[in-house]
Amino acid sequence: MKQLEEGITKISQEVEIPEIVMCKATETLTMIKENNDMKVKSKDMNKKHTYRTIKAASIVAAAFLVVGTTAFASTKLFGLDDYFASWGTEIPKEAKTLAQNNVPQEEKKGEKVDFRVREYLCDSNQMYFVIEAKAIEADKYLLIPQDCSPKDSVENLNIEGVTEGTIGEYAKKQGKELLVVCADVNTGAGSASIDFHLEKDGTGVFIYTTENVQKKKRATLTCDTVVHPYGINDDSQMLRDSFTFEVENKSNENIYAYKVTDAAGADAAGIQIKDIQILETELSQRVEIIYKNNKKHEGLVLQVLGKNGEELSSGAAEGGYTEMLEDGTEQQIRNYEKTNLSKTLKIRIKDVFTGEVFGTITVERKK
Amino acid sequence: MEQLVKKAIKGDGEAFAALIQNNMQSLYKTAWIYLKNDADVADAVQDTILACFEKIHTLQNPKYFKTWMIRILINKSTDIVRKKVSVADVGNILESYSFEPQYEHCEWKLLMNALEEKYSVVLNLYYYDELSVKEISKLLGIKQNTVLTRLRRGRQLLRKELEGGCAFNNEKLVYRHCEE
Repeated sequence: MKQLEEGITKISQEVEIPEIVMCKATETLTMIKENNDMKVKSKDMNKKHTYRTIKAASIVAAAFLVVGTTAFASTKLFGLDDYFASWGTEIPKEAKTLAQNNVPQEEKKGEKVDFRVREYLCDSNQMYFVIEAKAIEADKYLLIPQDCSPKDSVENLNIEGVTEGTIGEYAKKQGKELLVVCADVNTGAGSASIDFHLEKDGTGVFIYTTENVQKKKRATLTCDTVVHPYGINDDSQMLRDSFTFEVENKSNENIYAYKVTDAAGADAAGIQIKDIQILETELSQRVEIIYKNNKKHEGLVLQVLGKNGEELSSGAAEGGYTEMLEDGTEQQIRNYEKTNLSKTLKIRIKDVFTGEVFGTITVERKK
Repeated sequence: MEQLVKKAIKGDGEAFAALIQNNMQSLYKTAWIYLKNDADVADAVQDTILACFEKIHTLQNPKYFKTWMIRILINKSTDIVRKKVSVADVGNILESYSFEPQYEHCEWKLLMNALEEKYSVVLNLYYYDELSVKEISKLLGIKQNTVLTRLRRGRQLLRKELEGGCAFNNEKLVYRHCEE
């Protein structure tokens, strides 16, 4: 028995972590700390392209210029309409006026690639930016996002009508060299999703979706950019830059409070609903539910159901998250695409880790 | 730890780094049980750090950061094993799992090697990471009864190994990988 105890003690003790492991971990953490806004998608990782971005090192001041639409009005360019369509939805009619393609921004000449904000859409819940990257020598370079490799399918670049072969093969056929580009907007949000499309003329288009955490009516945002040849890890060979642009949130918002009228599902889950509120704009609906998770379910989600009994679609909106509040309650935020919400709603309570559905609650809009 | 997780979820790189540093022993030990090779462990830990940072916003409850992170690590480690199996012949696999220079000086590694992976993982998560049977059950996707069985059997085997001194027999490790 004594030997077993000794064995268990040995298992419980710390071991010396070899240098190779510590070095690699430290190197990765240093990169994260320095570039602490690596962004990821929170939605369907397979459907859309995702990559990390690296924050630019410096911001160079320059004059603001208003870049008009005329410069790119002659051909059909990828925009937010296309992006929403790729999610099987469309920008609600009443939200179309929120989309801006005449973006006041700092105009900068890049060494190899020029970046600019082509379009944005902003409400009190979400922000969408379309950022274009144009290679100055477009016949020489094929632009790819940061986590693509020549071995990846060319489908990752979302070029209209091009589905066969790898990125490397496509570049070879075009007689181009791979040039990695990334663009990252500092919005203060913890995460963002980024899609990439390569247009026929070689322009790279980033669609950047994130939560509007600052909720300002007007804001000046910084877009950090990085450009480097594929396969280069040496920081000195990376072209880092940034530019600023202005956004305006013209949305009107309504906040509705709801009260629970039937708590059966909550009782079954052992949770106590404290507060439900829905922030509605022309573009989306943000549902905020505060509850006490008495049974400490790990993967609890509260899904607002539509008329068909299925959860409302989040469409192109960034998903949701749960956070612990100071008083020990939990707050769940979920973003849904705009729909006509009735005054009475059903919310399904489910543990996504175990798959257990506890039931539904019924809530009614307060007068 | 929950405060650090909350900050990390909001994109605080410093907080995230602190979280990883506080959990380095768990990361190293768990990955090593699966990979038995420090170079591969370094890769698995690096992949895990990146994946955790990228996905931390999806974490529903900060208090489950550790189990969530270990789950990602196990996936990354098994990915590495799978890739090795798919590209190498048996000889190469055995070569890749050969002992490292200081291996025989680490009693923990010798003990972990003396046991089958399914037992060493459970024992380590229970005794080192101090996870509950329920947490281990969720983390590994096995029933709580199975966790309890593996803990009991793991302890029996551990005692046997320690009594017989087999844990310190290097040949046994090679044999075990041949079986796998």
